Amino acid sequence: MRIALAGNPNSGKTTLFNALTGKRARIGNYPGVTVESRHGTSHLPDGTPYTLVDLPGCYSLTAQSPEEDVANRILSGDLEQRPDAIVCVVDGTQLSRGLYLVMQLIALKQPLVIALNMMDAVRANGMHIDIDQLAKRLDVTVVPICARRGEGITELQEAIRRAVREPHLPWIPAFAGMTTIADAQKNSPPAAHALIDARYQFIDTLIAHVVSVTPRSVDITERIDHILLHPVGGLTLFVFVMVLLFQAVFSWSEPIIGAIETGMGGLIDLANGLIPPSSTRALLVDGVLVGVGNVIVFLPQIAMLFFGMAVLEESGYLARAAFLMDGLMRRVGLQGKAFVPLLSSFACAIPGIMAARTIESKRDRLVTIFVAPFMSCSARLPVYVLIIAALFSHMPPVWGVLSVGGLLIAAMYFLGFFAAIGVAWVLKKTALRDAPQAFILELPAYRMPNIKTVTRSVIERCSIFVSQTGRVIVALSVVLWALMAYPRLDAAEVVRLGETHASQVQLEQSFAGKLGHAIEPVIQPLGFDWRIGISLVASFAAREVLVSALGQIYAVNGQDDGSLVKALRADIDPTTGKSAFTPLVGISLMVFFVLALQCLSTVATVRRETGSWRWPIAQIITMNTLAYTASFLVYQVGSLIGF
Amino acid sequence: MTHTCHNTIRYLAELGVGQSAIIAQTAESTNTGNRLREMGFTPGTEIRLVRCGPGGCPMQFSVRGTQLLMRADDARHVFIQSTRAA
Ligand SMILES: Nc1nc2c(ncn2[C@@H]2O[C@H](COP(=O)(O)OP(=O)(O)O)[C@@H](O)[C@H]2O)c(=O)[nH]1
Repeated sequence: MRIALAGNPNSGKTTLFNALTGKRARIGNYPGVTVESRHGTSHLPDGTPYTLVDLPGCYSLTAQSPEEDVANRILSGDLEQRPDAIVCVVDGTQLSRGLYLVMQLIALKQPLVIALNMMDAVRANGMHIDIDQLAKRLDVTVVPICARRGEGITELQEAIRRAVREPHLPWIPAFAGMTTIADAQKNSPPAAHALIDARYQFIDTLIAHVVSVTPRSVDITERIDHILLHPVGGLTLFVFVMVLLFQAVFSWSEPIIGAIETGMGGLIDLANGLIPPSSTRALLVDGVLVGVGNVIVFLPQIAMLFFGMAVLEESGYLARAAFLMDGLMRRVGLQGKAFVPLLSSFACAIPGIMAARTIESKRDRLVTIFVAPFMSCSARLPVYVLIIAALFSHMPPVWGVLSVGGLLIAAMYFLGFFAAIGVAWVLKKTALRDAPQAFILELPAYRMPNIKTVTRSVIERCSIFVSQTGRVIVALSVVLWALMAYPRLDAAEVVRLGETHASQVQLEQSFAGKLGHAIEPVIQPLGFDWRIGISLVASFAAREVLVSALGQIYAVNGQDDGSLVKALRADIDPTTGKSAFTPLVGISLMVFFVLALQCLSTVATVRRETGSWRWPIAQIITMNTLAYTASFLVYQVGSLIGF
Repeated sequence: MTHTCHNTIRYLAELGVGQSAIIAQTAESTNTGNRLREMGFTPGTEIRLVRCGPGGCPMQFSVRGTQLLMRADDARHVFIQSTRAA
């Protein structure tokens, strides 16, 4: 048996879904659309289990947005088995819009139950709703509930049971024989408007009959907004909140990441100690186990960001953040809700891309996901730091105070940011030209965040990342490992060469090493030799791998950055007799790292979030072409003017 | 609703902060017009411009007890009858 759960955004649908299903939801993607599917299991009072299908939150069913389209197709049985009954959540404090959706559900001629939610807020607002009258005039069972406190859930289950066992199709004489709004919109827009108006007139009359209000003088939400949306005070507070959120994602997650890395290192040592050396062990440990490590290191940042996001969303502040930032973001071709995803991408693009799901408009969401990896993430920092330590740290400061290294790093952050704006602008003019959507956003009433909903959202995001994105990351990690590990040096050779030297030779003669050699002619115009080529191939696992790969190639002891810096400085090109690693090569390499998409985990995440390989592939091509072109220009122009 | 004084029909975006007006019409064959109509922007409904974001964008409207954010571009799909003193 299947029951569909419909409702406006912010009506408390998620809270009710959690209250009804208790256990974890199964979350997937509907094929071909970027909308998530959520299914849970619940039981009727007589013990019969049923599947609860969460519809995307929507105001109408006329398919004006991907969410409405999906809701429509689920209800009509087009996407999956048609539901046996529909539960529509209506926010009791927002009756007219909620009832508008109810009108459309009634027209579907399926058994329907209304869960009239937020009854606590209704009472607190001094409103009284005549439930019996409402039910009678709509010809639908209405159950007053408070999803947050779990009140009315038993009664709701009983109403669902009756709707399924003794089906009754609501019938409102006033609407008998009318065409649907969606049909009218196709044929005659004025007729569609007349239909919409007729429904709202019916609703207005209905509300006038069933609702009586004792007005309270203060509107708390408006009072808070007066402060939080103030052009000066509100913005100051916003900056403070964002600094806090960024701190959490960027710094507070660091010790946990460190602990995970130590733990994984211990696990790898343990496995290596337990299993005798063989190629199977290498595959399991260096391929799979390291790949798994690559997945779980992202969890602290994802958990931190989604904890923050859930609190901001639940409390109602996220929509206010969009209000404060929309003017700025609009100027760069994005919208207010893109701010938090892009900000967190400076820590790591993966939680940032996952956070883009809060953007309702599909086009804006895709643009945000597409440009998020341009933000210089924390994995690029070790690369910048290495290059600056090796090539720029001995230069005298500019004007006596500004270190060259600091200026370069700042320049790299700006470069990424401006590249993002440029690409967003081009995307909106080209690939995503056809789908402009209005920016209409509701400011929900302020509410105390519910700790259960927040925790659940964090756990849900983390488990989706592990189970759905993680699979792809592990698979790609294993492929990359195999490229670097095969063909293998034989054991005798390893003994003869000694460990450090053997690892250098192993990498050089592996497939990745051969690839690095093979691409040398291609990357030479950027100032890169085959050693950087190999490291670039290796850094597709994660950008910071460049540092350890260079260490391996220069045959320096992996742990010590200082010796790698010395090795890079001491590297003399035999043909020219000059340093192979000039400052110009360093800048060219940094520019390449700013712009290139070299992170398998990002690719896997974009695939999960957009539901197809099309977007990540387009992203790889765009970003890497851009990186190549920019580094080419830097090196060629730089060489010409004599650097 | 009858609109007798056509000369007073104006764009919603012309409303001043704190001012209220009565909705006269929404654009007929635009997606935005349809969406807003379905969200309750029906002729005869009162609408108030509560505030504007930093730099004048977006605009916060109060309609049917709901607070909605909209950009000036999108507000152009809504027409109002006359301004009333706030
Ligand atoms: N006062 C009150 N708040 C509720 C109730 N149910 C949900 N909420 C809150 O309403 C907000 C929106 O709820 P959510 O379930 O996320 O809505 P959705 O957008 O429809 O999924 C959250 O802050 C909830 O904590 C309720 O019965 N009473």
